[in-house]
This record gives sequence, structure tokens and C-alpha cells, in this order.
Amino acid sequence: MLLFVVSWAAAQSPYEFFYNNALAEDDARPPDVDNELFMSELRDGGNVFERLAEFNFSFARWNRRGYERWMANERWGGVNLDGLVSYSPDYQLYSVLRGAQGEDGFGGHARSLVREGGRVQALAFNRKGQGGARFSYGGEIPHRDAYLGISLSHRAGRDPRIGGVFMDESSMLGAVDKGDFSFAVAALRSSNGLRNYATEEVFGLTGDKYYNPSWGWWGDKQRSVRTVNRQSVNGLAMWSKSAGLFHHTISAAIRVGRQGRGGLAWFDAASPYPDYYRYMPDYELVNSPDGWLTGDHRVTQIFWEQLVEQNLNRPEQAAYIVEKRMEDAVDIRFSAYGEAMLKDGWSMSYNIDIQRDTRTRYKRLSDLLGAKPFKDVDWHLQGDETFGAQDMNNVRDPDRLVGEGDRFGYDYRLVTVAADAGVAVEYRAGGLHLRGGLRTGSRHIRRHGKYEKELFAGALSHGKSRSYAFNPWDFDVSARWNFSPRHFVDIAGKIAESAPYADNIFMNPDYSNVVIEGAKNITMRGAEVNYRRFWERFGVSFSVFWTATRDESAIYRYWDDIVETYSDMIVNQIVKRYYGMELGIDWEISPRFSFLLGAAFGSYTYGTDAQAVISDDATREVIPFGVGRVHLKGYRLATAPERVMTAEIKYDTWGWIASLSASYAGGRYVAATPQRRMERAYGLAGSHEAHREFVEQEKLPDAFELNLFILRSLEVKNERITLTLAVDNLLGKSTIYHGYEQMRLARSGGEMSDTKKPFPSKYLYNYGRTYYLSAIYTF
Amino acid sequence: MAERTIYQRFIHFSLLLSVVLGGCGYDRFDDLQPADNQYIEANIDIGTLRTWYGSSDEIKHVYDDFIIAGWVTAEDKSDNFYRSFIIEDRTGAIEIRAGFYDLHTVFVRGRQVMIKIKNLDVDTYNGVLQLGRTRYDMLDYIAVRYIPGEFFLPQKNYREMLPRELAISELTDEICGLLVRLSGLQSVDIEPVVWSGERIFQDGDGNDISVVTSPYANFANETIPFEELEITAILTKNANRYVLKIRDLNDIKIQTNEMLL
Repeated sequence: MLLFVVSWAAAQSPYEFFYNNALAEDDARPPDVDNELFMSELRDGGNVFERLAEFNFSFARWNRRGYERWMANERWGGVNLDGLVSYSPDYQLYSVLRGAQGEDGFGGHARSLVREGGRVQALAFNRKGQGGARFSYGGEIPHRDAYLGISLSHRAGRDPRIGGVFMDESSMLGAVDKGDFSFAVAALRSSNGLRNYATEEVFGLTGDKYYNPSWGWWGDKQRSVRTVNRQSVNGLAMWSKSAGLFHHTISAAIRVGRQGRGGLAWFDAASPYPDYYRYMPDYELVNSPDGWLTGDHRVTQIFWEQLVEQNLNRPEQAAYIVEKRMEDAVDIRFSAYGEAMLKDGWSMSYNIDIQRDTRTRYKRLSDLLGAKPFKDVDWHLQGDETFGAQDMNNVRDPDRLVGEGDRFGYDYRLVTVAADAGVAVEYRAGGLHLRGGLRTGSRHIRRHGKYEKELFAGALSHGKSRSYAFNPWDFDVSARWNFSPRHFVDIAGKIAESAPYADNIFMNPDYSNVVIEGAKNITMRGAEVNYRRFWERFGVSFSVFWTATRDESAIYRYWDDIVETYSDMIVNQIVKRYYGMELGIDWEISPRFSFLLGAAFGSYTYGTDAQAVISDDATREVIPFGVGRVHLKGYRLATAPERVMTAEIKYDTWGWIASLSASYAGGRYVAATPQRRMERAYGLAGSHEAHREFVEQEKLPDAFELNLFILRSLEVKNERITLTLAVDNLLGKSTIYHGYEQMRLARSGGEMSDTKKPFPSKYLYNYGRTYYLSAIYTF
Repeated sequence: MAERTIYQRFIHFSLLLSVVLGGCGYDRFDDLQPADNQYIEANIDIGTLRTWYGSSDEIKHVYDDFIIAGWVTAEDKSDNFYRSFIIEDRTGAIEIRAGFYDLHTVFVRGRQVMIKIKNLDVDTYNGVLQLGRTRYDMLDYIAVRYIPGEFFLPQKNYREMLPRELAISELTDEICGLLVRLSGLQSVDIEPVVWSGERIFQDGDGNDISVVTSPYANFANETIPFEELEITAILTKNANRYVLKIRDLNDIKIQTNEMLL
């Protein structure tokens, strides 16, 4: 029994480390963080399903147990990494810290962040055409009684298969342990060109499931507009002290970062995006499919030369510009954690978190595309005879001309200050382990508008808003009974209220201090039962879970085709339910061969109908029939397939690891939009077929993938070389990764008709066959 | 010895650092030259095209490699013209039912445009010669998205298009579609009215003429002045009445006494 455990652990370590880094850093599937709602101290990380699922379901949108990603909770050296303003995890940071991942989040010690010794890695990945190198070194600093770890990495490439997709990421990590103190600094920069979703019509016309509308030829170079640039410096200082039966960790962290999301903006000009609905043959007969069928890039991609030409025709006002939506972040964290072993099997722990997150957001003019500087007016505001009322975006700096590099549009800061404290008590006696924890705190959220928008004069847009307070709390209990060290059952339950993000309480934070009515904590309840048993060569784990959330709000800012105006739709009283089971089997067929199986079956649905209020974005008045029920009950959340299964056969011997896995995902759905499920919308359907289009939730085809992994480890003069090959999607099948419904509605019966039909859904296809190669030299 | 190893590795580290900090510049670009169209000679003028079309009510298909050229006189900047623009040369004018949205960003007023009209169709509507594509036996739009060179070759030449100054009594069917200017016109409405819809004007001799404005025009709800006006507009005809269609309110001038003199 013991031998099995040791050999298994040794095999897993390199396997997870290399394979993890191969796939987890890709934008299509961010690295998994711990999103178990009922994370308890009892968890032992031995869940086979969890280990398998982490890598094998990347071909479909999959969140474990269907939970939304904002439910995740990740820490580094004790400090909370989750953003308070919005759900905005830094996956690149996670990737850098991943080597130090433990059960309580990412470790903060230099020794856990950078392993002792040197390591040089070279990698190639046909996904995004990546080539990269990684270097790390960790060791004692002579005569200083300290440990130093440094790590550098750089990966870059342009996808040979998908136009406009590229990546260019670098990171540096330095960490020092000195006595009871640990310090770490991670500096990151990245520039990514991303793929966009598209309709089946476009995929059909181009014959390309990986068609990306977000780029065009800029001379002989591909220029993407869907870009994300990030830079950040993350610092952590940690003090840990163990004395007798007491252990304390005090951490402080700061994160200073900047992010820019690129995009095209246009004023009084036709949409520059090639797959704009009016340009598509399905929308109007006049639209010829010829350019799509022949692959004329002037039709199928953004035609940059034409945009520049049109700008030159409009010297008084740019028709097209490239803008960046910027977000500057300054996050300060303080955390104190301690635990004490008391008498008679009792122990207790405390945790204090104090956090302050600041997000300064503004638009920056990246490229005028040959146009002249323009006045900073609202391009999209309707209300007078000309196109847009052209109200000033900032009356405090009237008639300011905006040039390249300048801020414009909006400029504001969101601040959230949080303080939380928790205490937990545990009791162990024989095979019994009980735990109970209570945690409570407060969130204070406010907005500080730097611009005074002409439309929302004075305090409506400018200056500090009122501070809005929320008091989240959670209470959890769990109990485990160990029949033996390798055979146990545990049960956990939790009730909690989570504060909403700042982004979800302001009606439109970009330019208004106004908050939505009825913003409140999200209530969460749930329970899970876990059973695990390991025999000498066979292990099984089984979990049953149930979770419900209520009082969640969502805000949709969109163009409403029924009243033909920019609108804000606030959906309140959202109830979600998640329940299901997970199964994991680990069978050591022989000392070299093992078989692993993971499966999950679940239901992730809206529990009841919700309520919506739709307002005119400019006047704040409720639009006609804008208040009503949203018939969401029973619709799938589409956060995860309802059925997933993965089976893996693994060969593992000294110096070799090879595995072949087959994975399946079924019960997948396109994400539903609430707007269509209101009577004001589906009541406009002109036929039974159109009605079905409004209310039915499209089911996606089942997906299947076969993956191969080979690792070869060689010892050369006491130094190790590790070669890795991972081939994903061996069969090269194109399956839909995820899809969503558009909010727009089209006329369904000609120009004069009042009947409507929904726009077609948009999809993103899974990558085809991918190859990942890595060589690591360890010294 | 151990220190030396550390320093050696520090040098390696520094070399890699320079790579890490650099970035590959996938998102950096130099200036781009605008799209340009070749110049091709027109081989048929608009007047000849109108003659070729004749007086029939039938849509005529163009099978020949005809190329027309003209200068833009009206576009959709104010939304009074919708998805179409008008060009004229010395011999006449033609409305191009282009089908593009916001086409004024390409077909700027006064810009020279060459059009390859082979495989397109010609018709007349309200007396104005039109170019488009036939669908369901009607002349429809040519396309929704502008692709340079596909049919249209806008040039870099611009010219201020001067209207023909005429009196109502001098208007003829042959000049429908041209930019004209009429003076001494006054609204017959006694109450204040807006431009939207069909409005009747009268000249000093008691001759009537209509001004038609789309309700979607950005000036549709502006009030028509009571004073005598000088109106520049595209001439069209509805039944037996000549109709003017202005491009924007710059086409309206209130006539002062000095102007009248």
C-alpha cells in the first residue's frame, strides 16, 4: 500500500508540472483555480476526478460543478488574489506561481515558488505558433543564510492557423526566504491577439471553423483589433512563525498593473467588422456571398486601407479609430492567519483580511488611422437631428481635442475596501474530524468620476459617489469519519452571502454614479458528501453535491431593437441551482500500467424566473414594457456540460510516462440571454417557428477528444533532461467549444413589419490537433 | 567557487532578461497608405446612357463593359437620401442605388467616381435615371458593403459642383437628377411647418413646386422659414409636379433684399 503511494506521487510530480504548463496558459481555457464552493480543511487532494478533469476537458467550456468562475477563491502566500471590483483573475500570474500551488492556494515561500537547482526549458506549441524559453534557478545565497529563487520566461508566436491570433508573454519572478520572512516580486507583461466568436453562416461561407473576424491585413502584416496588453508588478512580503503548537502567518501584498483592451470605434460610418449582420447574405438578398466564397480579404477581414481612406475623406471628424479600454489597478492586501493546536484534539484558527482595490478606467486613443484629432463628444448618444447629440464627455474640459495617446470617453475610479475576519474550530478524535467556521466582514464600494458628462451633469457623473456597504459572511461545517487512513466519508455544508462586485452595482460605471435598485448580497447554500476508498491497487472516489444561489443581479448594456435605443437591462432575483455527482476510479493494472476514470453528471440551471427592468441608457426612464418577468426557470447555465467522462490509460516506468486519454462532454448548451425570455421580446415572434427561436435553448453537439502524452526523462552525468510531447485532439475534430445567444433582434417580415426574430448565435470552435513539445535541462 | 557560479548564472539571467523585456512587437504598426483606385477612362457619358435607356418603363440590363464617370452631388450625410448617392457629368445625372450605409464617408460630395456598370441595371424613378440591380422585377440596391474596385472606383479628384440656376418654368424632364437652384420660393403654408413630408412652395409668378423630405432626415423636424428662399436641390418629378430634394439645410438660403436685387 505504502509503496503504491510513493511511486504514484513520484510519477505525478513531473507529469503535472510539465503538462500543466503546456495547456493551462492558453486563453481559451484559463488555468483552473480552486472553485469548490465548499472547500474545507478536510480536503486531501486525492480526488481522481479532480486530477483528471484539470487537463482533459479543455476542448469544451467546463467549470467544475458548473460553478461560475467568480466563485473561485485563490490565494498567494495567504493573501487573497481575487479582485474586489470585478472578476478579473490574472492567469499569467497564476501560471508563474503554479509551481508553488498547494492546497491552500499558491505558496509564498521562495523555496516553493522556485525549486532548488537550475532549470532551462525550451518549448514549442503549434497553438498560437508559440516558441518559448523558461529559466529558473533556486539556491542558498552563500554566507547569507537565505534562499534565492529567480525565474524568467518568454513565449511568443503567431498562430499559423488562425489569423490575428498571437501571443507575446514574458515574466520575471524573484523570491527570497530569509529567516521567518519571505519576499517575492513577479513582474509580468503580455500582449495577446485573440479570436472572436462568429456565426455558423460565416463559418459556412469561409469553410473555416477557425475563422476570426477581428483582424485584417495592414500592408503585409496581420493587424488584430481584439488585443489585450497587460503589465503588472506583484509584490509579496510574508512572515511565518511556528512556535510550539502555534503557527502564524502575516502577509502584505501589492499589485500595480495596467491592462488595455483594443477595439475599433466608429462614428457616423458603417461598421468596419466584416461579419456585421447587415453584410451577411442571410440578412439581405442584395449581399453577395462571392467575396466570402472566394476568400477576398477585403470582404472577409477588416479592410484597414479602406478605413484609412475614409478617414482622409473626413478631415473634420474621424470615421474610424483604434481605441484601448484601459484599466489601471492598484491592489493592496494584508492578511493574518494563525492556528493553534489546543488540548484534547481541539484546534482553532483565525484569519483576517484587509484589502483595498482601485481600478482606474479610461479610454485611450491608440491610432487615429490618418484622421485629425477630434473633440471628445459622445459619439453614440442619440437625441437630436444629427447623428448623436454630441454632448461633451467632460464639460470640465470643453472642446478638448483628442490626439493619439490621450484619454477620452470616460475616466473614473472604482474603489472597494474590504475587511474580513474569520474563525474556525476543529476537533479530532480517533477517526472523527469535525470542523466549523464562521467568517464575516464588510465591503465598501464607491465610484469617483473624473469626467463630468454633459448628459449626467454634476454629481451624477462627477466626483465621489456615496459609499455603498455590504456585509458578506459565511458559515461552514464539515465532518469526516475515517474508517481507515485510506477509507473515509465526509460531509460538508455551507451557507454564505457574498458581496457583489462594484461593476455589478453601478448602472453604468463608465459614466454614471447611479447604482441599480436592489443591489444586495448573493446568498449561497449547499452541501456535499464525499466518499473515498483506496485498496492496494484500486481506488474510488465519489462525491455528491448540491448548491443554490439567489439574489444575484446581472446588468446588460445593449442596443434594444424593440425600442431602438441604447438600454440597460437589470435582471434581479436570479436563482441558480447546481447539483450532481462526480466519480473517480484509479486502478493500477500492473506496476507499469494504470487506468484512470473520471465522470461527472450534473444539472446546472436557473432555479426560478427572474425580474427585469430595462431603462433608456440616456434618459434613465424605463422603456415601454421594460418591467417584467424573465422566464428563465429551467434554462441551463451553460457553464459546464451536464455529462463529462474521461478515461486514461497510463504507462509509467522509470524514465518514461505515456498516457492516452479519451474524453467526452455531452449535455452542452448555448448560453441563454434573458432578454429573449421576456414577453416583450418573444411576443414579437411572427410564427411558431420564430417563437421557438426566441425561447428554446440550443443544444450543442456532444464533443469527444483523444489526447496523447509522452514524457521521457534522461539522466546525463547527474543532470536531467526531460522531453515532453503532448498531442491533443488526435483525431483533429472540430467541435464547438462554446456558444452564446446574441441580444440583437432582426425584423422578420420586411422593412414595415413589427415582427422580430433573434440574431443567430455565435460560436467558438475548439482547436484542431495541437502539438506541444518541451525539453527541460535540469542542473 | 560557489559565488562564481552564482555570478555566472546572473549573467545568463541578464541575457534572458533582455529577451523577456523586449516583446515581439506583434501589436506595433507603421502608418498605412490608404486604399487607392486605379484611374480608368469613362466610355459612356450619363446623357448617352439616358438616351440608351430611352423612355421605356422597363428595367434595362447592361451587358457591355460600360464605364461611367461623374461627380458626387448628393449623398446620405443628412439621411435625406438613403443608401444611395447621385453623380452628374456635363450631360446628365444618375442616382446610384449603392446600398451601402453611411456611404458619404466614401462618396464625398464633389468627389469624382468611376463606375463599372456591366451586369448592373438601369431604370428611372421620379424622373431620375437610376443604377442598381434587379430583384423581384424591381431595381434594388447593388450591395451592402463597399468593396473598392468591385463596381466603384472613387478617385482623388474633387470639384465643387455648381447648381444650374433655373426658374420653375424652365424645368424639364431631361434635367431630372441634376443639381438645380431656384430662388424666390416661399412656402404656401400659413402655419409654421417642418420640412418632413411634401411641402409646396411658390415662386413670384405663382408657379408651384414641391420639396420632399424624408422623416429620417436629420433636419426633418426643423421649421421652414416664412421668408423667400433660395433652394439648391436635386430635381425630381412626381406625377406632373416637379419635386426638389435638398441635401441638408445648407441648401436653404433666406433671401435678403440685396439678394433679390
